[in-house]
This record gives sequence, structure tokens and C-alpha cells, in this order.
Amino acid sequence: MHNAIAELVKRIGTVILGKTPEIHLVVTCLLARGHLLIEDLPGMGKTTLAQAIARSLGMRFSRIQFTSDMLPADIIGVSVFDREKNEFHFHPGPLFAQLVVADELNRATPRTQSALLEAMEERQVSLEGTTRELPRPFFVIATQNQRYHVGTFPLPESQLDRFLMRLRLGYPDPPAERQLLTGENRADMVRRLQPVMTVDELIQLQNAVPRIHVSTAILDYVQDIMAASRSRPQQCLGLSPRAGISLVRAAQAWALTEERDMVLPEDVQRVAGSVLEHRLNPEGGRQGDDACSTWENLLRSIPLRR
Amino acid sequence: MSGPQHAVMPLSTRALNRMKLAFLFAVAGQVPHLPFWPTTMAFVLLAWRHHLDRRRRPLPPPGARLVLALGACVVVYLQFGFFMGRDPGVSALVVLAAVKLLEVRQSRDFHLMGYLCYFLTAAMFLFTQELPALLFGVLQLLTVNAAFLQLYAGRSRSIRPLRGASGLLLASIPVAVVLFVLFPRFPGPLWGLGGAGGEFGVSGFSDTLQPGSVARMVESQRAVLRMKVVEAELPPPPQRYFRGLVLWLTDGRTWYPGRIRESITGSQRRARGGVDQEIMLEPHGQRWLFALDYPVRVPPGSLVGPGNVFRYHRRVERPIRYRVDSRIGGMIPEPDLHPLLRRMALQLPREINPGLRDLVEQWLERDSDARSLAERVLAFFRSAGFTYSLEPGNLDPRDPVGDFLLHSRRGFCGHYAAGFALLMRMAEVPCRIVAGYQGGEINPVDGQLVVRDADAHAWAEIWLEGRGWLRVDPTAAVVPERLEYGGRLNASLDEMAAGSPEDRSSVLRRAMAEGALARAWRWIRDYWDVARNYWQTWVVRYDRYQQHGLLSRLGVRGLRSAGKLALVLLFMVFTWRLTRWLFRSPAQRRPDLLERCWRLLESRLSRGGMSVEPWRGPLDVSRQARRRFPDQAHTIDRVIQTYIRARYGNSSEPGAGKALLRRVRKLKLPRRSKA
Amino acid sequence: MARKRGAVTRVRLTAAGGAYLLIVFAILIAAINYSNSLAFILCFLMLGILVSSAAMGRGYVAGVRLRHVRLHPAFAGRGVKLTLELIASGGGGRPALFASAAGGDGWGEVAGPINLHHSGAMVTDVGIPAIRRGSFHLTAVQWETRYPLGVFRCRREVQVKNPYLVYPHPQGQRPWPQPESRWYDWTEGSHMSGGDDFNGLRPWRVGESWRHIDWKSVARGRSPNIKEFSGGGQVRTWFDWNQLTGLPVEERLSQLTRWVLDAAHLGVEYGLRLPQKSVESGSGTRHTRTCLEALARYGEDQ
Repeated sequence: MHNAIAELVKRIGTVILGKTPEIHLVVTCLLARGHLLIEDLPGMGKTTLAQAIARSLGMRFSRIQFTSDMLPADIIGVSVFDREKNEFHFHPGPLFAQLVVADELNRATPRTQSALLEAMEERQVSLEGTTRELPRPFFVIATQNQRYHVGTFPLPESQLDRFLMRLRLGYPDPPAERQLLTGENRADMVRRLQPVMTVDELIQLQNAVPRIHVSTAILDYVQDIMAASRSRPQQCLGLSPRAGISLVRAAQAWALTEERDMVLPEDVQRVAGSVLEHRLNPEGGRQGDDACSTWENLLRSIPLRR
Repeated sequence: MSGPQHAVMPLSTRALNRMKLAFLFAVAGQVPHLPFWPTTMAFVLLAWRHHLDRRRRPLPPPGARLVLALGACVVVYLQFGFFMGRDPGVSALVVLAAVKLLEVRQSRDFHLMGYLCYFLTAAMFLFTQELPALLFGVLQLLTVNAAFLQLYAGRSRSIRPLRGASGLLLASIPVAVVLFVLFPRFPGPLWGLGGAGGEFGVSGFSDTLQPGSVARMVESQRAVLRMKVVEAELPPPPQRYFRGLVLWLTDGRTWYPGRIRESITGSQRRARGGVDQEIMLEPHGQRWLFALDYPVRVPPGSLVGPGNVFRYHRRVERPIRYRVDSRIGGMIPEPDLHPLLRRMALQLPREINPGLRDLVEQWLERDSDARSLAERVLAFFRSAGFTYSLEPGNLDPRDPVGDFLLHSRRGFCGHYAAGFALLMRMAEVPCRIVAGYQGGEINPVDGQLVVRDADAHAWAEIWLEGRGWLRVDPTAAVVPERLEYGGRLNASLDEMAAGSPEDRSSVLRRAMAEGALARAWRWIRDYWDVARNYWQTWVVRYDRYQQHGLLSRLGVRGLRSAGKLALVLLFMVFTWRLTRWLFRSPAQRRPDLLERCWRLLESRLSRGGMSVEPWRGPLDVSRQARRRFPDQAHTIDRVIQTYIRARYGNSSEPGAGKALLRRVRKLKLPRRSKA
Repeated sequence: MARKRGAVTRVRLTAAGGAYLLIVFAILIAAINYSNSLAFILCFLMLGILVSSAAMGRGYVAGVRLRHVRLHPAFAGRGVKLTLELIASGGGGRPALFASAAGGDGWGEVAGPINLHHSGAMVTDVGIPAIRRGSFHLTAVQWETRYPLGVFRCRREVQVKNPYLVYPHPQGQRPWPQPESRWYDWTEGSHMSGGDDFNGLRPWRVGESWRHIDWKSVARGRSPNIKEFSGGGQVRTWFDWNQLTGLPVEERLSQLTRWVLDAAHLGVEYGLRLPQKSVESGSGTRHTRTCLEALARYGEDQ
């Protein structure tokens, strides 16, 4: 793993215990300039994770708790008339941060949701005719809770597609949990985290992602995955071309975190779960305990061309 | 251990669409032969089904389909009034198949639909056996088979159904040809065509002659018969009289053949022939056969009737081919005339125009000899201002012959023959009318003589006591060129008959000259005629005799059934081989060097008891293998790293593959320790 | 890797093929009757196509090889799932196949249609029946097609010998055995619902809160049980063959399997004691598999 990235993952791992694979994926998502959707119960450490990332990278961090009465202006910001200067003055909303945690996104109305999602896609905000660039890097970690449906507006399938990855943190394993119970306050630990790299270094790493070599063998493999997802009779949704692009980009980022200058099938497989699962299975229906998940079956059905 | 159950192939939209196309073709093949309603109904139902599918609407319920099926039967019944026979049978098949199409949901219905399409193709052949019919039939077969291929290809996108179906067809041609040649042919039907008309219905020849009736035919360029002369010279154009039927009786307006017992026949059998012809006759729905005048030996299966005509054993309802021997020129030698025939040959209508009586009286005063009388009549035709015209104008319906001979004097072969015969009979000379063809053109492509409807002709024969019948062609007296150029001149003959000799030749030149377009058209027609002739000879009319001839020419005449069977089996094996060759898998894509390295490594690992799952990436495999073979861990890792760099890396090192292959070959892993 | 012993390809006429032959015969009769040459041609072409379609279908199934079999362990009564990788030589223009396999309890359902990947490989999951528990061998794998016309069923059967395990059917209503506490003996019996550590299962009593009912097991058709949690600490449960006196052998195994699965689901530590074999206490997927294997193989060594 890339020294700095390894260090980053390790450092976040000291705060979020027993979740190294997930942290690795989160960092991959960040490097690939994607956005992340976390589906989980409250109290699983989503905010702590986001704060730890922001701290370790020296990013400006803001958190938006979505509610059903929230308006787009509440996240984007408002122009207020300044009497003294006799002009409008823009007060940027919480969206103008480098790392935005959008908590319980599905509580917001579709209008507010789409304002956020548009900003995520465009990386800029248009307000009253002026276009304002969002800071760079710009990384959104949205969370939603599928468990409680009352009063929520589930993200439509087309919007889900805008998140590069969907993750579930899940319960910590017993030893980690024990350590959590006995250890010191997480918030204090986060506050004490030292940055691993600067924002500029992060942007450099992000720029390096597209340069990771994708061989024809990998492109063949990705195409096979796409085709297989479309020809499965039990699959109502095939993967869109955007899913393919995302898969390649995420695999490149993963390869970078592994300190490799080329993408291997393993890279694709490692990120496939989080990149493809929400596109294949937008409902987020719970999988049976011994049944393999859809995407896993999909991957197992595709032999590699050697 | 019994085998597993078979899962049913799900019916895909693409397969269904192909089947719809196949059905469209199958019905389209029936359009020219069936009435309007059944085929239209089938098209409408097909369009409806397609509409329902496109809109994803449910198919009509069983009750509605039942009503439709009953409605279809009513349509057929209203059209025909009965259900038996070919036309109503095929109509019912068409509409009921269309109703069936409305309930195709599973592969089972799909099969039934396809089989109905096969039947429709066969049904089309009952109506027409022309070459285009076969081509269209083959197209139908291809589309049905392509639909089946599409069904069984499933969701596989690499199948090209039409190509596959063409391959199947191509491979099946050899065995089909051998079967066609060798399969025994039986004479005659097991049962009749059941109320179905034949393939004719266009031809103009009826068995009666009214002076004007020929005019309908002379416009038509349809070929009636083709003649090839075997081992002899084709007679010159003026001798090309094709005898068809003899008309004995008249009521003053129409001439009839009359009914004569078969036993009263002529004595021509004893005469020697000279021109052996092979004639291919298009169907005309009557029994008579045509041959160069006069036929002496007739083909088996036909009867000789009085008047030296011969007839087929049944109506000619499809093209037939026969050989006949004729004697050209001279008279039909017959020593005496049967009294009944004499009476018939002298029969006169009840009322005869008194003007004609006066005319004949005048001639009889000078001549009594039949021949001189005939000459006198011909001279009358030549000199009394008679003209040849296909539009003779209206003649007095009560006495058309008298009107023609005395007043209008415009007419064509039918008028002249009828007038001549009447005059001869009034002069007590036995006379009869012969209807047939005169002329014809030689097709330059194969040298066969093609006779067309336009060559229809009528002439007369007079009886010379003690010698026989003599042909007299009164039309020739008016327009001699008719004999030379046959029916091609018809349009110009009016003009020609009226003019002077100089005018005649210029008109003739004009008539025979043709533009480039006309030449091209003639060229196409000639080739088409020949192709059709071969088609009719070798395919449509391929019967016991043809088979016999062909087999003896091929030298396998003496082949017993077992031999034939063996030959067919041999060709079946050939078909099998041919199919395997046509659909041979493209030579196994030769794996590149890297892939060979990987496969070799895989097999080494597998011999060591480690199974490499096909979806596992190289790093995972490396990890797995290192755990399994800790002693070789380093080597394995190096091999796989090299492979990874070569396969997935950016830079390609030359010779990396070969080095890798050597290294994998050297890799020694312990044999399997655990099952 | 599939261990192959022998392979046969069979071509058999289907019912649809019989109907096809009947139609050919009917057309032949019509051709003879009407001396209709074109009907003869149609009939003979259809015969030839019959022959060549058999060749085509046979060539296809014979050109497919079994490259890989992966067996997934299963529970008795549910059927064994296995993943087959078939590879078509060449690749181009291949129809869908149907595949099935046979194991210790006969042939399984036919799976398909399976389509070809670009590389020429096809992967499918097929099931074979698993009625009895124990260790068995996969005996045969077959794939077939009715391509091209549906008149022939061409199938290729490959003899294989791959071992697989069928775990006992998880079933039983016996109460959860008394857990053995490792660290906090004092918590025993104090069923604090607010705790995090699982303490075992006991039947639900009327009037109790529904919040701790093990709904998953209810969904499987068993009577509601309460998940009990203790205030913390680790417990260990032993599933002992001898606890289940009065039950026939297979039912005992079923009950033990049920417990093992429940324990694995709840993430507690447990051990297994069988007459000949015992599995030390532990947790995790690997541990569960060891226990299940021991249960499946029970009685094999005698």
C-alpha cells in the first residue's frame, strides 16, 4: 500500500476499530473522486469516521443533519442583503466544505436531495445566476437508514447511481467492541489526530488515479461483468455504462492504494461489491445469511480471460 | 439412472417476431391463388397480434379466439359454400393458423405454428409449380427454420438465425437431390384433387369455334407449347400446322366437334411418320393434344379420335410432355370415308343464305371436281375484295357466315375457314374444320419451336374421293405471309391484306423490325422460356419415364431398391458431415503465450491438488498457492508476478512470455497429497 | 477441477421431432398423390434438414467441455448447489444450453438456459437433490440443447467423481442448552435485556416484550424464542450428543445442526460433542464449518 495511504488507513483505524476493509474502501472512494453512501443504523461511527478522515487529511469538514423541513438554501447558502453596503452578500451554506457528511439524507424532501446530488455531480452550485465552485477536494459522505421508513423519501434508483460506492459499516466484532467500551472517548481521539498529508498531496493522489494502467484484459473483464449483469434472467436491472465507468475508476483507485501502477482483476473484485451492489439491488433488501449476495454470484459466474 | 427432466425453452420476443415474419411469408404465398378474404383476415390477425405484443397487451381470451375461429370457418364457407377440396381446405388452414397465432405463448404453440407454416408452403405448391414458387417456398422454409433457431438460441446474442438456417438448408440439398432423383414415382393419384381446378384457366381454346372466337387469343403472347424435333429437320414455317381438334357440325353460327364413337378411326396408323417431335404442352383444361399435321404415331396414354386428332386420357391440367410422330406434307391417306363421318362432313345448317346458294350453283355449273371447286372458292376469296382483319365489325348474328361472305368480307382465319367449309359442303364436297396453331418461333437459345396463343389458327380439310383428306387453308389465300410469319404478324395483317405487293413488303419489314428494348425483351423471354422448359422437363414433370431415362443415362438403371437405399444413406452421411463442416467451431482460438503459461501453471497446481477457480485473480491464486506449497512459495510468487506484469502491465517486455513459459515448465510441485 | 471419467453424447428425437416427421410424411403422401414435384422437393429438403439439424446440435454439445465444478455444501432437504463452468471450443454462434447434474440422490433439476460469455465460457448454478445427509460423490454432469430446430435433444453426459457433503437438516424443538459462562459467573440467571452479550435462547412467554424475539427463527416456522442477553462477558455453550437422549440418530443430528446454526447466527461461542468426535469451543465461519462437517460425517467411520 502506498505509504501515505497506508498510514492514513492505519491512523483512521485507530479510531474506528476493526473496520480496516471499510476504511480502505472509503479512502479508495475519496481518491477516485467519488461520493459515498453509508447505510447503517445510528451510532455505528459514521460521523466519527468522517471526522477522522477530515482530520487526517486536514480537510474542512461540515455536517448536515437532514430533516424533512430542510430547504435547498439551508445547505447551499443564502444571499443576504447588506444594508450598509447596499448589496447582496452570499453566506455559504454547510455544503461549502471539503468533506460534507450528509446525515440521514432520506429524511430530506426530494427537492433538497436533488440539490445536494446536483452539487455532488457538478461540483459547483448555481445560485441567482452566479455559479460558485465548490471547494476542492469535495467529498460527500451521505448516510441513510433503511430500517425506519416512516417519513422518509428513499433515494430513487437514478440518484443512487451518483454515489460511487455504498457501504455498510455494521456492528464491530466483539474484541473491537470491547475495546470501544473500555477505551477513551472517540471524539477526543479524533481531536488529537495529526494530518497524514496535506490537501494538495491528496489532490495529487487523486490526479494519479486516472493514470493507473487499465489493460485490455481488464477492460474485457469489466465488459463481461456488464454483459453478464444484463443477460441474467433473474436480474431486473442491468448495469448502466456509468456503472462500468465507475467500476474502472474505483478499481484504479484501489490499485493506487495498493501501490500498483496497473489494475488487476482483484482490484475490480474488491471494489465491485460496494460499487455495484446498490446499482444491482437498489432496494437494499437484506441478504439471507447463507445466500451469497447478487454481485458475488455475478462475479463468480465470470471466468477471467487468462 | 434415468436422465433429468427437460426444462422448457422460454419463448422470446425475438423468436416470436421471426415466427410472425415466417407466417407473413407463408400467407403471402397464398395470396395469388386464394380468394381475397381468407388471406386478408390472416394478415389482419397477424397485425393485431403484433400490435398486442408491441403494446404489451394481453392476448385475447379463449372465448374470443373461439369466436374468431368460428368466424373464420364462416368466411371460408361463405366464400366456397363447401369445405372439401383444395381451395377451401387451404383457405381454412390459412385463417385457422392465423387464429392460432393469437394464442402462441409457449414453445409448444410456437412449434405448432412453425409446422403450420411448413404445411402452407406445401399447399402453395398445389397451386403452382413454377420456379419462382420453389424459390419463394425455400424462402418460407428458411424463415420458419430461422424462427426455430432464434427460439433455441435463447438469449444468446452470438447466433445469426438466418445464417444457421441457410447452412442447414445448404447441407440438406445433396440428400434432397438424391432422394428426388431416386425416389420411386407412381403413376396416377391415390385420390382426386377434390373439386379443385387445374393450373390452367388462361388458355383461350374452347372446343367450339365461332368465327370470331379466335380473335380473343391472338392478342396473347402466352406460350402454349414447345416442340423439339428429334433426329429430323424442323419443317419450314408454312408447314408448321399444329393439329388440335376437328370440328364437324355447325348450326350456321358455331362449329362443334360432334360426338363420334371411338371405334370410328382413321387408317393413319399404317402411314409412316418422319418428324419425331417432343412436345411440351401447357395445360389448357381440355383433353386434346397438339401435334404437327398430321400425326401418325401418338404417345401412350392418349387415344386417336376420328379426324386424325388425338386426345389425352384425362384433361390436361398441368404441363405435359409427349412424343409424337408426324408426317409432314401430303394428304392424310384414307381409302374410304365412314358413312357417318361423310354425313357429318356434309352437314349443313338448316337455313342457308340464298345468295350463297346462287354462288355455289354458279361454280357447280362449271366444276364438279372437289379440288377445282376448292380452287374456285380460294380464287373467290382472293379476287372478291376479301380482307384480313382482326376487327371484322359486327356480322349479322342470325347468319354471320352469309353476311361475311357476301357483304362485309372482312375477317380472319375463323371466318375464312367457316366460310370455306360451308361453301364446300353446299357443293357436296365433304369438308371439316381443323383448329390448332400455325407458325411459332424458334427460340434461339435452345432451338426449340415455341408456339403461342397468338399463333392460333383454323383451316379446312376437304375429302378427295378414294384418296383422303386434303388440307386447304383459305386464310393463306388472302394473306400468304400468315403462313411464313405466324401469329407475329397478326397486328399488321389488316394493313397488309389491303395493300399492294410493295406495300405488303414494307409493312412486313416494319412489323418484323424491332427496337432495342423489344430485342432485349425478346432475349429475356427466350431465356426465360428455356429455363422454364428445363424446369418443367426436369423438375415439375419428372416422372417415371424421366426417371428411367435419367437413371439409365447415369448408368444406374439397374440399381435395386437396396442400392438406392444405400445411396440415400450415403448422402445422409454426407449431409451429416457437411453440416459438421459448415458449423465446425472456429478453430479453437489459439491461446497466446501468456495464456498458455497460465494454463500450464493451473494444471501444475491442480495436479498438486489445488483447484484454481476460474474467476480468481492472479494475486489471489498466488496467495492460495503459496499457502499450499510453502516450499515453492518464492518461485510461484515470482512466476505469477511476471505473468501479472505481462498481462496487466503497461510496458511489454519482449521475450517475457517465453521466459515465463520456461519458468513455469521448471516449476516442480509436489503431487496431490489429499483427495 | 472436474475429474472426468467418460463422456457420451446422445441424440434423441423429441416429441416435436416426431411431429416434424409426421408432417414430412404427410407432405410426401400429398406429393405422391398429386405427383407434385415441388412438394417432393420440400419433403426431401425437410428430411435433409432433419439430418443436418441433428449433426448441428450434436456438434454443439460435443464441442462443449466441462472445465470446472464447484460444489457448495448444503443441508439435507434443501438441495446442493453447484457451479459449473462449461467452455465451448471456438465460441462463436452458440445457443443456450441446459445443464443438470446427478449426485448421490439422483438427477437434479435442469438449469438454464445458460448463455455463453464472450470468452466462450458459460457458468451456471445447478442443483442436485440432497435428501440424506452424509458425504457423497457427484456422479454425472450433463448439458443439452434442442438447438437448432427443437426436433432433436442432443445431450452430452460426462461422468465425474467429485465429493461433496450434505449437512443434516437443521430441525428440532429442544430448548437451548445451558450456556457455560467463562468470565462472569455471577451474571448467570440475571437476564438483563439491556446487555449486549448473547446469553442463549429460551421460549417466549406471553406478556413479554416482543423486542427480543428471535424473529428469524420464527420466520423459519419455529415457536418464538427470546434472545437473552447478559450484561457483558463471554459465554460458551456446549452442544452435546448426550443431551438429546430419547431421540433417533438423525433427529439428534438435526437438532445439533439447528443449534450450531443458531449459535453461528448469533455469534456466540460454542462447542460440539459427538460420540466419536468433539469440536472444541470457538466461533466464526471456519468453526461452524468444522462442526457441520463433523455432523455430516457422523457414523461414516464405522
